[in-house]
Amino acid sequence: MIRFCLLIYRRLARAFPHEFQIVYGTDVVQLGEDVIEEIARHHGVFGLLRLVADLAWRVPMEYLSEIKQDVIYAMRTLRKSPGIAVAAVLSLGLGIGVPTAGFSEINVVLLRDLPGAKDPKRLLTTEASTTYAHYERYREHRELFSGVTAYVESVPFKFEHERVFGHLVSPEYFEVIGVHVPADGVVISERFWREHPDVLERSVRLNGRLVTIAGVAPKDFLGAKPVLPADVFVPMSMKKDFAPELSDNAKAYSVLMRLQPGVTEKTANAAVETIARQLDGEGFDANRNRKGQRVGLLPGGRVVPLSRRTLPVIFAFMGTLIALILGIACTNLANVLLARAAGRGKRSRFDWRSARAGSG
Amino acid sequence: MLKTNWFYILLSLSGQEQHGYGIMNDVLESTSGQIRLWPATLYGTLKRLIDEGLIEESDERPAPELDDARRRYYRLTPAGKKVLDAESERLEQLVGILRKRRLEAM
Repeated sequence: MIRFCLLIYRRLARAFPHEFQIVYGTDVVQLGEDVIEEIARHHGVFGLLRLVADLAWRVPMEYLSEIKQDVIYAMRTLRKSPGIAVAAVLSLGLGIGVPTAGFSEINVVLLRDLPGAKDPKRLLTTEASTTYAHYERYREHRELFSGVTAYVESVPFKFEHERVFGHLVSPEYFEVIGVHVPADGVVISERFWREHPDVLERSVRLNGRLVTIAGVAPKDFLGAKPVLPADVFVPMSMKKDFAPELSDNAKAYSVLMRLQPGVTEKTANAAVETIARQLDGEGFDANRNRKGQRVGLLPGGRVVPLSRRTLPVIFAFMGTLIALILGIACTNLANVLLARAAGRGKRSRFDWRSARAGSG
Repeated sequence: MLKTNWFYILLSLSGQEQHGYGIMNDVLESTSGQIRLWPATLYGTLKRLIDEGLIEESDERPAPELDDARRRYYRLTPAGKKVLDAESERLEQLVGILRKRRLEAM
């Protein structure tokens, strides 16, 4: 036990800050070695633990003490030259603040999972809008997808006298995303409900027609594509009333599918492509992307559906941009400090000459 | 008011120059084993006391037969003596007040 404690004690003693380590490191270890047997005799295991705990507590304390000294020194130096202090704080503040804000935005927009979605990694979405027939055909493939839904995004509605945007959604919409909504019918977002708390289970005018608000979506849920937030979710069965011009053949339907367990994204992509080819033969023509693929699938459980290949490019771009901003901030600060050092050099030469002239 | 550890270390160095191990043993004996300055705490406190100018490292070594070449010796600075005296006086005053109150109560 003593040997084990001594081993930990020696290891911990190496963790002291450099300055303390140089001056007192050896002494601390030596004193520990000198007293450990006596401590074990008098205090037993608890004494040994106390010896190690004392060291474990002092190490961070010494770091804090050094930081405190550095901060005091920095404050003194900065107080002596407030102009440089302001330039330094502004340079570093902008250099650190701008990249931090940038990364926070990226985190919120690109990296965050779809709010409210259940197991978002299993969700896929079509790269481009397609026809209702494509959605119906995908839906038949239960061996690939446990659920498929179609929705029309950014549909403008007139809610009483207010303009709001929403989705026209197929019946499985909420179930596929994994969001629990208590009733069928027109559903509103939680944020919209907060602004209009009296509309629930009441008839309201939507595009001039009387509808009943059946339920409220969970907090933060703003549709399957929150970059284009939806506050009203109208069932596709009401399409004739709200978007009579929208035919089933229009390429206006975004499709979201949930993969069956064990089905990979690659398999789903290939299957969906085959289905689209079949539909091509039947007279439908899904949007083609540049590679000639009829349908591309993207991760659908993200705030912004981006292909897995696009993310590294965005990160590389952002990383370079941040490195440049930080580089500019550091260079700016270095210039300020160099200018101050040069100024001091001139002054000291001047003082030396005048002193020599005075003595001569 | 002086921290307890600081006071005991200054008190230990008031009679003679001491190394860390000596200070530790001295404090342990003078408090009848009640206060043990654990190694890391002891050296952390010694560092603070040096930073505050209350103690300093001693260049003088004791007689060769008493000297432990591995160890560094510390001694009080004039400022350290003043602080120790002021703290001792404060404690004496406190004890005096306490005794007086007890006598009055009896």
